[in-house]
Amino acid sequence: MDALWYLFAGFFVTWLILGIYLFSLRRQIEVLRSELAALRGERGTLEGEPMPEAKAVRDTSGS
Amino acid sequence: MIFLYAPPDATQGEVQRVFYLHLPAAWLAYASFFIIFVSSILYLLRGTARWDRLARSAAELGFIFTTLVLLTGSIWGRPIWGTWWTWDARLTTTLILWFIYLGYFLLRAYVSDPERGARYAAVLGIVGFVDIPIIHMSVRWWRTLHPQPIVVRSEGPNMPPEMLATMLVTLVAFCLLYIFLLIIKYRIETTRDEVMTLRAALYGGE
Repeated sequence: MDALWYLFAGFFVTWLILGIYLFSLRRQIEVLRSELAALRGERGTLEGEPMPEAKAVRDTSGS
Repeated sequence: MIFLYAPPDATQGEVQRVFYLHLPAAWLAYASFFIIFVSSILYLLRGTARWDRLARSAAELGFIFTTLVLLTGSIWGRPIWGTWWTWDARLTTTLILWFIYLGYFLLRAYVSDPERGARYAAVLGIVGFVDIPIIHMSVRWWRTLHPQPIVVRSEGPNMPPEMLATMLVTLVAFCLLYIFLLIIKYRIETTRDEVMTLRAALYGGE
């Protein structure tokens, strides 16, 4: 019974760490994507272009 | 396969199945450092950002897999050796590898100039690779509690065919997972570089 407990602990720890790591990768992707979109928007504004979001809103309101 | 196909070990019993996680994690921790070693050399020779990105990505995965090796080894060692940790040569050199990975991240974090940080980290990546053959040979060079290699031996693997097949399948599965994670991490690092370039262009590197 004791041996099974250690076996369970080994598998649990492995999948827990890999799961947490996958979750952290997903978080990193979300944060970087939003930061990149914001920076691109800001660059677009500085260059006098409308932001992509603003464009989309204008297109839908026009239809 | 680990639970249904592979037979339990005659002396260690069911807990020996931790081996099927422990061994692939160990090999991938070594493989990560090999990737860091090669890409660090290429980065120093060519100065291309993509080699640094690859080294950064492999370092993070190497750290995760080295942590897994230490934890699964400790969990496996407790019922077999009667202790969670011992200053055995294999365990100690693996712990040194873990600290080298940690040092790699700290070096990057504390050097303010990213290019200089990448160069220093590349040097650590090359020097730190020396630990990998030492880890591998530690069980031959010193008397250790850790068993001798049973798969990579000049006489061939020393285990029943069912165990060997299970080990190979888990190794392939772990390698596929590793490649998947490395691709994702590399893409993240590419986006991060893009964000830093854009930020520098907009705010002048503030």
